[in-house]
Amino acid sequence: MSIASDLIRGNTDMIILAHLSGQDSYGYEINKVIRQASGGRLDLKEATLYGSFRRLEEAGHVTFYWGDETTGARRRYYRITTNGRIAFEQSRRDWNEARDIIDHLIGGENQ
Amino acid sequence: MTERIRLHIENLLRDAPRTRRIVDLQEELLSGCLDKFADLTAQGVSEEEAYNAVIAGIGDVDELIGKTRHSASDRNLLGPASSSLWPMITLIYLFCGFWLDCWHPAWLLFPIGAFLQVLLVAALAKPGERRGPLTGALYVGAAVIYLTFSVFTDQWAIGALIFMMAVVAQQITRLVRVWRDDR
Repeated sequence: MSIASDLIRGNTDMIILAHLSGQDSYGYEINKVIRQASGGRLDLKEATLYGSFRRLEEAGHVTFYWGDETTGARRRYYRITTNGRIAFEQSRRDWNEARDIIDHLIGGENQ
Repeated sequence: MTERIRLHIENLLRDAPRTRRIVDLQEELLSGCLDKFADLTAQGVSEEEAYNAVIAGIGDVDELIGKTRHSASDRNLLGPASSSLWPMITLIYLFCGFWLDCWHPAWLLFPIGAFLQVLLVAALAKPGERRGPLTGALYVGAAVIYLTFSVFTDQWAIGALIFMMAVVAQQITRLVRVWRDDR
């Protein structure tokens, strides 16, 4: 998990954008979906998650709005922007290409 | 138990300046932790175990608050040091000029000041900071313009105004930077 998690950390932004391209969401929900979709193998730290949100905000790939929770604390919802969708499609293409190249170089699975 | 989570988060962000970014981060972090706590306890995890899992799941927030904390610490030390340097040099210069009528060698104070400023910034600025070279360049530039202007016009006293303009320019860029950090 430790080596894989380094590889994955570099792609946190893309993973979050993938989720947001479906619907607006907030930190805990995003992390929960990631955890479930990865079969429990990936569980992001809050700090990693929020660091990624700030980067995406600064890049103009997401905007945020506050939820109207009245008890506890308000949720910070994120919405993907048009630029965010473009960036996501681009990273997905880059990823697929990189994976293809690496698979060819190392001989694919279990070799 | 939720109060304990709230206190833990407040404690984590205790040293961070109260900028918009940090206030937002605190609320977002609290909301995420409370959601997780509620989720875990609803699944039958004990409150104590849920609390521990929530705290362990936060991770290292230093990097998140680092950016803003950084600019706060340099405001604490570098700001006052460099902003008191130039008024002082200007005062000594005006004193030498008006009182002792020696405008001519006294202008040397400004290149000396520019040099001191560069040393000051080099000593106090944190690594990776952009302002160091920028401030240095500003004062070296001001000194070059001053010398050129004064050698050609022989108006050493009037030319010295460029340094006051440089001080003002520096303060304005600092305010802009502080304002941007606070947004």
